[in-house]
Amino acid sequence: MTPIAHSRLSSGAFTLDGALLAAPSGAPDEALRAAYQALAMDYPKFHKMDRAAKLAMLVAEPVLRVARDRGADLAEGTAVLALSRSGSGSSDVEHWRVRQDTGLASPAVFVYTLPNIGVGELTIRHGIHGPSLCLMTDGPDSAESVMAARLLRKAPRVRWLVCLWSDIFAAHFEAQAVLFGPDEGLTNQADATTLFPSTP
Amino acid sequence: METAPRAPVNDPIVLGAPGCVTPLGATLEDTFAAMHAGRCGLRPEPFPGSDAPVHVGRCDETALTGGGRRAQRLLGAAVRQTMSGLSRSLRTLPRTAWVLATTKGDVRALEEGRPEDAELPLFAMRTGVALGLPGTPIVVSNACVSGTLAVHLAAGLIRSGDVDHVLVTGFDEATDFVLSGFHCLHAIAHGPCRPFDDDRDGISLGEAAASVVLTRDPGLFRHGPLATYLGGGMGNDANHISGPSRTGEGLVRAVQGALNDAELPVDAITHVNAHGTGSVYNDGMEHIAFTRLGLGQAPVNSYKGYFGHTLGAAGLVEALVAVHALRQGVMLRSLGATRSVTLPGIDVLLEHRHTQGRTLLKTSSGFGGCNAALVLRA
Repeated sequence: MTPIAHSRLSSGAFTLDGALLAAPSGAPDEALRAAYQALAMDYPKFHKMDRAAKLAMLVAEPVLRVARDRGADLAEGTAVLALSRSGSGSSDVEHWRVRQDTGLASPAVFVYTLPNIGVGELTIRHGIHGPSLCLMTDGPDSAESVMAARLLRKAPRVRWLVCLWSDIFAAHFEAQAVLFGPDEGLTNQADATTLFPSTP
Repeated sequence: METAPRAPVNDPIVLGAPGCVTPLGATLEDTFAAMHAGRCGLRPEPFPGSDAPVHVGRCDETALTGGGRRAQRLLGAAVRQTMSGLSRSLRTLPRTAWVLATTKGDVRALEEGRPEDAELPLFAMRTGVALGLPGTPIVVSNACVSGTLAVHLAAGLIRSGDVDHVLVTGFDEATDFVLSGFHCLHAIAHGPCRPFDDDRDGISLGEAAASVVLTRDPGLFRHGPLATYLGGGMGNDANHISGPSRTGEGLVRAVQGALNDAELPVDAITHVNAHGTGSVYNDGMEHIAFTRLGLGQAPVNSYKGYFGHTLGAAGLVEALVAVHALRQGVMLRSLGATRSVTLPGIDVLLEHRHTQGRTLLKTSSGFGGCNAALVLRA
């Protein structure tokens, strides 16, 4: 697999194709805020999102900027594959804590208790109307993920594909995003199991 | 899962060996019979934090089979029906994938203080072991379109030649976790939900499990195929994470994608089984989308008035019931809808209707702005 662009975000390093964009450190909220500032994003809705959605939004931003720079039609010609292990786990725990503590629940928390909501936020920010798929996987790479990526890439009108691995639970977070273009990157090898390069 | 390359063939992809557990029955046939008889599986129950009872569709505990967690017994009951409907063992069938659709999986584990056990990949792995299925499933968790999307994904895997057969399963339980969430959104209906009715006022939650196999080999099914897969599509609203699009844009795109995939004009659709949650805005969005698509000729229903919104299972269980109904020559009434004059231009089924048509459009829409559609021939 040879993606056009590859971003990574974890504690201490936020990179695009190996180049350091920021060195976010501290607790997840602090680190995610630092990554947001490093991207000079001006998107007030970001601050209302849960951590999982913020993580997905942040790691996808650099590769989607590359896509725009290359003339990608994000609205019509882009698909998104999202992979995660914990999914909405952090918001799930928070929703249940509120439920137990108060006997009620918080709408602002509950709406983030689905693993695909980060993708939804991404599609809203970038106006992506193409197909998206959210799979729960044990790690970023698997044969099934590659198969799903190939199917999305073959969908009608799709020329660009963004694949995300984003996982956050408690203090641990890690995320990667790759961009595949109209003519490049996605192997047809039947035994391929890797979407994300092992080195930037 | 074996993934050795094999040239795609042109035989149609068929669905068969359905398994189904719903609040109305322990099999697809029982569920359909209850629906045909006009029964509603939604029952009032007290809800902590609410002065009024809420109507919920719960499966009969006696319908759940096997051991393990309740979620595994619910899913297992459907999967065992599928296994018994196959002429060969799923456990030894080569080049076979398994797709599992769910929104919250075994979220009861989180309610019991073990959030790590609620992680979907871990639950899926353990469930494979518990049910004696080979490998771990591809877990689709795409809100309320998960079940519909799982069928579309399965067909894509077969078309691409990655696999020859796919077991597609879907389930979700009606838990306090989910009920309390929809309750805080003021989304729960005051009585049983009434999809597409002029006075609809919200959703009812339910639980269900469903299971089916997709393949190009109809000989795999003891009782023959249930339906033929003709096409599928997806689309995003890119509008709001928890509110339906005002234009139905994502659903229009999903349906157009499914029709193009099936190489059919819109007037080839003879019946639409819609998402139809019973919320004012969802059903209104679907009305707009179906009108934009020119689907006025195809009678529309929703099954959520029978057994509630079963979340990640909804698309799969509803598709199975809808094609089963068409094979019986009937389109079921949209239970709860008695008057639908505020949704002009679409033909909401207020009564059961006989039909010779066999081409179904199944649609689903979910939080995050996702939409999916299938075209199936019964």
